[in-house]
Amino acid sequence: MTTAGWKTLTNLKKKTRPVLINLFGIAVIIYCLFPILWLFISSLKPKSELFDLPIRYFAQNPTLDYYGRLFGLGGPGGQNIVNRLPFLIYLKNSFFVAGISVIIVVFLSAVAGYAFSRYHFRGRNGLLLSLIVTRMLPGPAIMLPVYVMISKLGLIDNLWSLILVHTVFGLPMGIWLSTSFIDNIPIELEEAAIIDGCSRVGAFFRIILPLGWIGLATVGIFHFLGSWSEFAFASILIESQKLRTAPVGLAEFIFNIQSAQFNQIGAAAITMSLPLIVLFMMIQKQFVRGFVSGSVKG
Amino acid sequence: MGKKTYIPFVLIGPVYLLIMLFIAYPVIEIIRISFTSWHFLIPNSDVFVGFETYKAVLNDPLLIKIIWRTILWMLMGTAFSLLLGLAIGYFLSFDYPINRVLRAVIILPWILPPVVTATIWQWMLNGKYGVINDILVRMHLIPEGVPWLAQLSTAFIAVNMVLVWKNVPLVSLLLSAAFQGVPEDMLEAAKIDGANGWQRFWRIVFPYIKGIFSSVAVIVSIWCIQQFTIIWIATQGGPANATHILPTYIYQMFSQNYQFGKLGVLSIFNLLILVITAIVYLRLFRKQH
Repeated sequence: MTTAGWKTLTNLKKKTRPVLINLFGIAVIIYCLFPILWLFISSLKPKSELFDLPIRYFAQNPTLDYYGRLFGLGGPGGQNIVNRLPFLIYLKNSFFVAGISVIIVVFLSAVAGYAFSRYHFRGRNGLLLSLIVTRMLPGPAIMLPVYVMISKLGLIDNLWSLILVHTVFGLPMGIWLSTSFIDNIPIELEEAAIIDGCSRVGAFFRIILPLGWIGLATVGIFHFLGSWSEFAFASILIESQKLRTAPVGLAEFIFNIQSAQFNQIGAAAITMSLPLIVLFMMIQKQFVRGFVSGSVKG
Repeated sequence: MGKKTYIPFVLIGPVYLLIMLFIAYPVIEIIRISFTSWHFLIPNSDVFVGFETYKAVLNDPLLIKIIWRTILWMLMGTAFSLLLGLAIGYFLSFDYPINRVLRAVIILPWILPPVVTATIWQWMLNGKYGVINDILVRMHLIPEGVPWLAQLSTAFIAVNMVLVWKNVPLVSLLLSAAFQGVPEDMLEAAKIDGANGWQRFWRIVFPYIKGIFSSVAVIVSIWCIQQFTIIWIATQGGPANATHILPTYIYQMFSQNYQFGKLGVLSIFNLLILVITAIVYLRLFRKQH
């Protein structure tokens, strides 16, 4: 049969199957999105509707009150526990920790990734593999010694302890990813620049950074995700409420008020997820491509 | 290129110094602690006692159960994530119009902070007001609401499914990238030979992506053993310790019962499970290169 013939046959099949295909696709979309949508709908429900039975799938009188209260705006409920919990401060703390940690991780990963990609030194492969192994460690298993060290450094209840810990835990993945990104930049470009009188450091800034910035942005966003979301260390290294990060603050809402004010908890959860959703929507294609090639190709 | 051999070591030096200090040293320290009977509230208990604490742990039925449950947690989470990921990833590798939408949204569950994921599902799985129960009751699949996270028989599997929900998007995307690498002409040839879709998948497509599939399998198992936050927020290890795995139990010991010697031993078991997984990973890594 000719290629054209095959195409018609495939097209015919495609016409008989689209219902099934679309059903499966929609099922997957619902599976992924409905829980998030449900969180959002619940966060818009006033207290009177939250516990309506049978459940209402749409809010009758949607309200943004609970978002406002996160930032200390109005809300007549003086007894509302969240009014006394400065979520805005938690978000600021999270931004501070994740932001600084991202800058350090991106810089150190770029430098180390450059070394791994451009030099073939003794022990290179062993060191690269050791990164995978460190990446595997579960936080709680080394929490006690880390806590003891941080307290000896006098950094308990100090956001810099979190910056330090997040940075160290983010580096293995960051280096691994940036090594594979820099591998993809043709070495000839650098050599040409060096022949033209550029220094190696100059070539790093003029070739690697401009060409590899998408890769480095991926490293940064990936680490931002990790640091912004980290709960275990943030909950033990920080003690005072004014230094709490958003995940720990949210956990505190959940432990203290359970589902009694789920609209309020939902509003907090949506708010702290928004920066991540926006970041990922912006760079999604590059991220997925970069991450796929970085982690699978290895 | 380059003849100054010290340069790469200067470049990676700071990073490895940090990793040695804050990861390698704590690992050595936790090994030491596992050989002590250290209890935070008992003075001078941080002394070498050989395998005494190991014996104590291995004689504690609860702790043994938690060690086994950690392995079960990993195997279950990995199996379900891979199964769903294979199906969705294969689906995603075709040019169906609906995939344009799917691709745009599928990553969302994976990027949510684990605290938020646990929050969502705690509410959705609520016995009385949970939307999952509402849907199941409407479909007449269950007569009345089930407190999924609060009853012994369902809590463990329910939390595990929450983790699967988080893992599936990235597994699907990784596998769909692998599926797209399968050469078109191989598939065409099989079609001409009369192979149906199912045969094409198992005889041609799957063998082709086997290498990537096994790397993804190990990556997912690591995510599973590392996962602490989802369980801790959703159930805090309850009801009656039914959802505790090693990381959550270690965390609880650290903040609540202070038996640091035992904590050390459990950490060692946790690390051993990882090392075994790592060995599998390295084997695969070598095979591929």
